[in-house]
Amino acid sequence: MLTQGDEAKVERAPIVVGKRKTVLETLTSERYIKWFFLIPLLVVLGVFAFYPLFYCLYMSFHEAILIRAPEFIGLENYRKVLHDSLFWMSLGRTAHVVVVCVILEVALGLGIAIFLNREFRGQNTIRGLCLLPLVVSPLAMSLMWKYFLDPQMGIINLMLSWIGFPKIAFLSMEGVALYAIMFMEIWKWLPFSIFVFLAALRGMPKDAFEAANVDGASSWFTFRKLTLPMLKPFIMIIALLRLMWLIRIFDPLVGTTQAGAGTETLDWYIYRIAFIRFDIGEGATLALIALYMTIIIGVLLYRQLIKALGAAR
Amino acid sequence: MAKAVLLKKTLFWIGVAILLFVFVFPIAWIFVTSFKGRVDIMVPTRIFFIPTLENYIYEFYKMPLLREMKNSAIVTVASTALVMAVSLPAGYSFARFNTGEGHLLFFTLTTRMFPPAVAAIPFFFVFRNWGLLDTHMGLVLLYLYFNMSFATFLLYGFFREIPEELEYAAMVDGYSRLTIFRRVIFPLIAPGAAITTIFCLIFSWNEFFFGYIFTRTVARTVSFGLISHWGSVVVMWGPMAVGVGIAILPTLIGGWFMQRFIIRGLTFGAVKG
Amino acid sequence: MKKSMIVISVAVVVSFLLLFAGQVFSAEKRFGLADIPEIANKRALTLALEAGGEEDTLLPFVRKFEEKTGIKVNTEVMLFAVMYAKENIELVGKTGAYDVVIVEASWTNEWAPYLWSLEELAKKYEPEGVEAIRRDLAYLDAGLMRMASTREGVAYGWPYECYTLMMMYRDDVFNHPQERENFRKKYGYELAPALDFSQLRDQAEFFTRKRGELLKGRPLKHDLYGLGLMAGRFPHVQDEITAILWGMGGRWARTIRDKEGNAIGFKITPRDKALLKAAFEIYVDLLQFTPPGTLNAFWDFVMAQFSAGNIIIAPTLYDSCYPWMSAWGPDVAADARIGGAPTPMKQPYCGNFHFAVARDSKNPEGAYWLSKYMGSYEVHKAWIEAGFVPSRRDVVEEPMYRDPALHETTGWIPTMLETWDYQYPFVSTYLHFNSAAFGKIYDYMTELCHNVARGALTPERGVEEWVKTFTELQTKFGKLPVLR
Repeated sequence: MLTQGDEAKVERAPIVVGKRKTVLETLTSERYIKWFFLIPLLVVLGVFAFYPLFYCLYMSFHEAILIRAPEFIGLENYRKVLHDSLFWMSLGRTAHVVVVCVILEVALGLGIAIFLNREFRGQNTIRGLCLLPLVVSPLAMSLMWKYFLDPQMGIINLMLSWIGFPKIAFLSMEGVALYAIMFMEIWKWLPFSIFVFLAALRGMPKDAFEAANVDGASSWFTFRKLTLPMLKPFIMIIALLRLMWLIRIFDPLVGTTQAGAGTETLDWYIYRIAFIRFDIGEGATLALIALYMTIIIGVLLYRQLIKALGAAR
Repeated sequence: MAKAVLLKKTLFWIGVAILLFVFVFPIAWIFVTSFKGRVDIMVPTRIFFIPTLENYIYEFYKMPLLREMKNSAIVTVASTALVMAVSLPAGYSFARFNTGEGHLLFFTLTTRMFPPAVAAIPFFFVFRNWGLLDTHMGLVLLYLYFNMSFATFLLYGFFREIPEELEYAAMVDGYSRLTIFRRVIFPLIAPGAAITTIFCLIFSWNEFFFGYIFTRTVARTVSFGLISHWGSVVVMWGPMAVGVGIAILPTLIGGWFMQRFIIRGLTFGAVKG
Repeated sequence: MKKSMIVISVAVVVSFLLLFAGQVFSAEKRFGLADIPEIANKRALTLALEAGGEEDTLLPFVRKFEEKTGIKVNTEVMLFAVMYAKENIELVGKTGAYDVVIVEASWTNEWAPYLWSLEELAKKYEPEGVEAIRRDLAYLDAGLMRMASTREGVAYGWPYECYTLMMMYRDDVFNHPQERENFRKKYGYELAPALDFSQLRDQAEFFTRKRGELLKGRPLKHDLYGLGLMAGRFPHVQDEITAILWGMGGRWARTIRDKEGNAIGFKITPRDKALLKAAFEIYVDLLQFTPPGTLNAFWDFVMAQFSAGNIIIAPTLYDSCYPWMSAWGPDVAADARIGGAPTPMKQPYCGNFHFAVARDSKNPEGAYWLSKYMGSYEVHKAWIEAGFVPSRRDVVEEPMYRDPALHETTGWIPTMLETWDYQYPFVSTYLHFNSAAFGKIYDYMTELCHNVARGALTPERGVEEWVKTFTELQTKFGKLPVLR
């Protein structure tokens, strides 16, 4: 990670002799200043991050259902969760969503970015308009797509009927509903990858491409040998960031299927156990397992992300 | 040759039209829908219809939409200010001193990896004991928790871009670290801080789950209001369309004016949009 | 006939006589706004309401209450799908956030520890004591009151909205001579609202037609489906399957009582298992006659399909949907007319919402009078006129609503009363109104039924899962054991 080799130099800052330092002075002294800046964060972490973590750790070893005092049951919750097929299914579904969304967003985003990477009239306005889905609230998005995708009154089915398709109940068909959710996610986040790639393409050194042009290389060859390697850190950024956000997918389900038609994702399952069934013990266990898994993925990818972010700068 | 260019140009504009249609039409259509009357909403074939303001009248006079917007605005602004107060010094500390050798920064990030549904339960009981349920303050604190990790990580990236030499120069001049932070670093971080602020604003405004669980009537937010159109006898699509339109309007406007910074922020400053 | 049946039927007759008598004697003494005495406690109240337009009807009365008593009332509107979670955590957390809560009838046993019973409140606040409340409760349907009570029969709330499943069908199609003749030829009996589920299946099959085929002698412009069902992952799917199960005499689980009549536990008999499997099979089988989209549907979808002329029969739909269903779309025959009948076998899910007073309320006195006022004649009258379904018999039995001219708005009333009366003796045997873990079981049943409907579980596996998970949930969250 980042190293600062200048501690020694810094230590030699002038020290006032013969006067007792106040607390503030001690805190802002060279030795403690880095922690001084962190005080607010540490306070917030202490209250908001450690507390729920320890609460969950404690509850995960208890039968805790709110209506009576928690009762110690050892690893029973863990045993139950790990044998729970619904848990594994929701986990699998979440993985499915992550993989499909990430691949499509990268591929489509790159294609559209290459398509848009030229000068044309009104380019700023058009690009600005394409960016808008990014800022739409996920809940509002789910409600509006529920209305659009409705087989009876939805506009999408009307348009499909113009080109001769039968009515499709996107949010209700087994196997289709999950893709409808993914479609919503991609609709919202595709602008993100488009614009990352656009920025990347514009920042590329021109001379290498000119040289390749002079050598008469085919455009496919240039793309594969020149563009793609240069885009690698950007692909990493998109994939990793989206992975981290997609694992927590929840809001798009609220207004649409409410986890019906085979769309129950990990976070919805956890929500259901913790907040509808109020089985705090099991919910806490699930939350911890989800956290451990995300952390493991995070640790594996964190360095890659930092590296990609550094390379992209 | 000229023909080929023309064809290429036509194809390009068709492509642009498709893109605009995909991204902009759904958003535009929700605004159009909000002017439809009860029957027109149920019958999609009526593309042309007589616009009516009935949904707006219903939303503004019968539903607490204005109050919800006020609440969302208060909570969003206050929590963002608080987040910045926490994250600015923290991001600086992480970037300049590598405090905690990366572990602490990573731990900060993990708060965002915890399923909110479970974190909500201990918070609920603590907030009950402190009398924070259904208050703006309570929600502000939750959004602080919710946004802090992202903001810190984002600012960490921006702080790293500021060359250290500037600080040494200031130190030679005898300034203390605090003064340096205030007088030298802060002006340089201002653009990055602005981007971070925008993101905190958007995330807080769009947040649903905590707003839903932790508020009732006094502090209820726009997102909470939105799903209240879905009843056991009727789904009020018309008023809901108004609500959706109005709920996304501030972020759309913000997004439009800040479009250059959005990508920069989402990639932690790595990509200059 | 068993002895118990005789006892029950005598009890029914007597209770109806009492009901009737009550109405005659106190016809002028119905409780109203003017009867609310001066309330000493002036603390503001919070009233939970369900989302979706009902607040428009109730709010004017809330304002009247404020004016009369000088107590401020805040209302909070919430979505039904998450109402249980939200109210439950506030009640269990003893926050006192809601003075008056909405209780779905099947949550009554579970929440009884957090609520004041009506008698406790009446003893404290009614000038005439418990007698007064008995008199007022007599106007409410007895079956619905049992649902708003615990398994011991202690009443906890004032029912306001009632939802009884009923069958709605296209009366004009059912009475079309050509259709009737074709049906008779094919199935050998007269076309009439189905009395059981095999008849329903015949009719569903009969009316499921492709575009271009004939309906009432005219070619169809779109595909036609026999049935509209609500198989989405919403509580309604379990209401529908429950209607089949109860109708066939099965129970999700039986409540076992000792000689004194105290409940001692639950038991799922082999017969119940067989009937549950059959109910699942019937439901899955019927789904083939429904339009695409049914697996994410709730009532809203069925209503839209019915009005658009895409379906002929909605066999198990809430009576509160009835007044909205005659908004015929452009493709529907001009003489289209809705008809109503009880669901096949007449034992559908039939519950209600009631207003109950939270124990942690800071102003139980005000909350008591507010909830009682919400259950009054005046409010229920406005309720029915806004197109909702009230729980007071004196309101639904008003002769003015029997006017044939009102067929499209209040035509559901006779069917509902028939269902209520038929259903009454069975109410206290339903698991819904006996288990103290039902909030959790209810959510699980939604999931289970939806999974069976979409084919993720076979009916057989569905039954196994039910037995296993019910036992688990009841043991963990309930009070009574599951007996082997």
